[in-house]
Amino acid sequence: MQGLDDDPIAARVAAKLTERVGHLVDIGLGYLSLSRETSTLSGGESQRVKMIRHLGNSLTEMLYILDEPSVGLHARDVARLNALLQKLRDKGNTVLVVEHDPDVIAVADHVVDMGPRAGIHGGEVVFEGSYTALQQAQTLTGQFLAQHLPVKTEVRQPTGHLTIRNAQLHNLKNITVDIPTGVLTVVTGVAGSGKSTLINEVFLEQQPEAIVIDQSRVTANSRSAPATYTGIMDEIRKVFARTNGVSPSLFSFNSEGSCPHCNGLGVVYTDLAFMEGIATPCEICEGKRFKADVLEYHLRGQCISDVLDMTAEEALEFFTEKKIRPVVQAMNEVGLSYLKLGQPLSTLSGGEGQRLKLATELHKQGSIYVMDEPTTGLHLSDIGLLMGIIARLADAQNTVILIEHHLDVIRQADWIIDLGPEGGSAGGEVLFEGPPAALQGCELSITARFI
Amino acid sequence: MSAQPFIEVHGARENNLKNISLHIPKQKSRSSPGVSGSGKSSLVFDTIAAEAQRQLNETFTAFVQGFLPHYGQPDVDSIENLNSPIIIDQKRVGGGSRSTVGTYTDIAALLRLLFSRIGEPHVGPGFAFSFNTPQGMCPECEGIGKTVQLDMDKFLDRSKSLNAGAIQHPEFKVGKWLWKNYTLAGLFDNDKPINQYTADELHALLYGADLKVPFGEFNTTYEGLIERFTRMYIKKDAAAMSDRNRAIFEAFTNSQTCPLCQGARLNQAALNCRIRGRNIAALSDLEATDLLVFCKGWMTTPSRPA
Repeated sequence: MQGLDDDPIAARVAAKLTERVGHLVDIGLGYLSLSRETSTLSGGESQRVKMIRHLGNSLTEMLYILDEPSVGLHARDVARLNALLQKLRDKGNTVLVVEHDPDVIAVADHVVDMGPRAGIHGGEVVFEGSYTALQQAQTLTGQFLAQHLPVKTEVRQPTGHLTIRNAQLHNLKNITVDIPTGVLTVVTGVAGSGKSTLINEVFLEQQPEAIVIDQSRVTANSRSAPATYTGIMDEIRKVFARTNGVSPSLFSFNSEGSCPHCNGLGVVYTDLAFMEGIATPCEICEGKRFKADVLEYHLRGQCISDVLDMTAEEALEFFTEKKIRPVVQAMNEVGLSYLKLGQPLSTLSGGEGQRLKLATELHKQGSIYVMDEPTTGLHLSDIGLLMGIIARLADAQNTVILIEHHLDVIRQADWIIDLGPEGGSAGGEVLFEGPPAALQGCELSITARFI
Repeated sequence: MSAQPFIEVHGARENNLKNISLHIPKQKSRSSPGVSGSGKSSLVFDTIAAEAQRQLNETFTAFVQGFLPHYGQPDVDSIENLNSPIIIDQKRVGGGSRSTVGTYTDIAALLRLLFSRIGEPHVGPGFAFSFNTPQGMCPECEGIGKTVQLDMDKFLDRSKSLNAGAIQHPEFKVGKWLWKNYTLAGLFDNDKPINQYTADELHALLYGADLKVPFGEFNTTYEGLIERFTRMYIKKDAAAMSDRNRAIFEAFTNSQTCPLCQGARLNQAALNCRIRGRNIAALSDLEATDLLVFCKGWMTTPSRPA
């Protein structure tokens, strides 16, 4: 057999191959196989796979820009990620990261904190400097960095339990797990340990009626917006119609009332053949999406276009209608106060889309809620808000199951199921089941070391 | 060190940014926290990344620019000393069933090259090991690793006639154009339940007949249900369908592991070629951690006994 020692080209290829596979392991994706289809990767996994493509090159003085690379990473894997970011920097590159995770912020050489709050109350640089200086700074980020939610000691009592018996899908090692009902359960474990398999595949197959709030994109065509997605647009149209004594369909930018020039899109696309097309604001409606005479109809002094331009925060002050207020209220509660009612859904991030789903689902009468990393994209100060909503669901004796890495969320659980010990074939076992206070004594669990 | 140590942003006003200016030290790693919606993404993505990418794209010809993503000119007075950007976002990689971690990261290409050099018995160049080329793919499943059949029990309610809606698939509903292909063909009694069809009639319904179907002003070529469904749906890539269409598709089909390649996607010549007793499909199925152990084995021990 011809071997590496006879074939210098093969030896070089083998060396390169070893290096690249090593990157895959270093970045915390050691549980993936090369034959895994990319369409099955999560957002966080996708981002790390993209990083692999760039790690091999020897370009220097590049500007790497990353969007929340810690998403979906267990505290242990964040340390590996940090090492990679530092490696990129040490090669002579500039690395720019948008991030909420305190552990990633801690390794930055320079931190820029934006704020002070969201939407129109934000947009300023409130802090620039080192991490140690940020810890002392009087900004929201600075204040919350020092503050950790305590480990919950008084947990809710379950009303019963749902049993997953002998699960062996993918890497699960024939495990049997009781999920307590009527309380908040958090499923943890390093990336690839089998959390999603256990909950999203095995458990949901048993409980198809569960309300699932995941990170799959909210349906986004160029005409969907928070107002249409949450269903309040119908009510808004009815109120406008009733107040003005005209047909509700006038107030839809998808039908009768839409600007005929841009068909309600607000912009006109000009195709420039082989050059990129240009979107220009519609010259007839000036981007307002409606016919001029529709804009003559007002509700408490605002026309329909003004209403769609309101943020959820402004809308909460404006609306008194019983069917609209709770939804707008929920949007504020999930940390989307800055979102405009008419903003195209295609511009929302994964985390924003997920919280919009949550706001929409909060009113539904469900008994089981499953949420896949609801803290994605949330600032430390917003996590408390989200946990408040989740606590309310559990207080109403709903069964709430979170797949989550965020330590503050894990500390606030009533019940923890920790999977591991590692990712892929080295995972799939239950390391710990019980309340958070007992997790600290569990030697097997990697999660316990970080609590 | 770089001659200009800072990226200088002057007067950024994109989205909610309040005309801000700042200097960002180069060759440093830097984080940008802030509450959701505070303007982090507006600064980093919509201003700095957008401008850097836009300027980089302008270095290409207009023809090439047509294929590049579009970044509008951000609302900012000026950004000085920018570097070439590499933007790593969280958009899902997506891709059809032919896109894998191996193909996407180009690690598969290295592995193929290695098999073409030292695999035994020798098969040929790297593309003979690719399930995405005719030279390498399994002839039975065309490199997908699965074969898909129409589930006739779900597709057809045999107790009903064509007019009563025997065909369950929504695109073949009573009154739809595809349904007319069968009712206007003149081959069947459209009120006779399918389970009373003769063998010839059933064959014509499922597998077709040499016939033109008159549609008033034009004719179409008649196709049997199985033939038509295979052409319209099965030959397409389910991963590339919309969620709705894929759900419908999956409701009417059974998929099974390809009987010829056993899901390995490659033809037998490629699968018989081995390095240290393992073929390329077996190595591709290893978790990266185990593959790394195998690779390191190559590097440290000679590949044949001395």
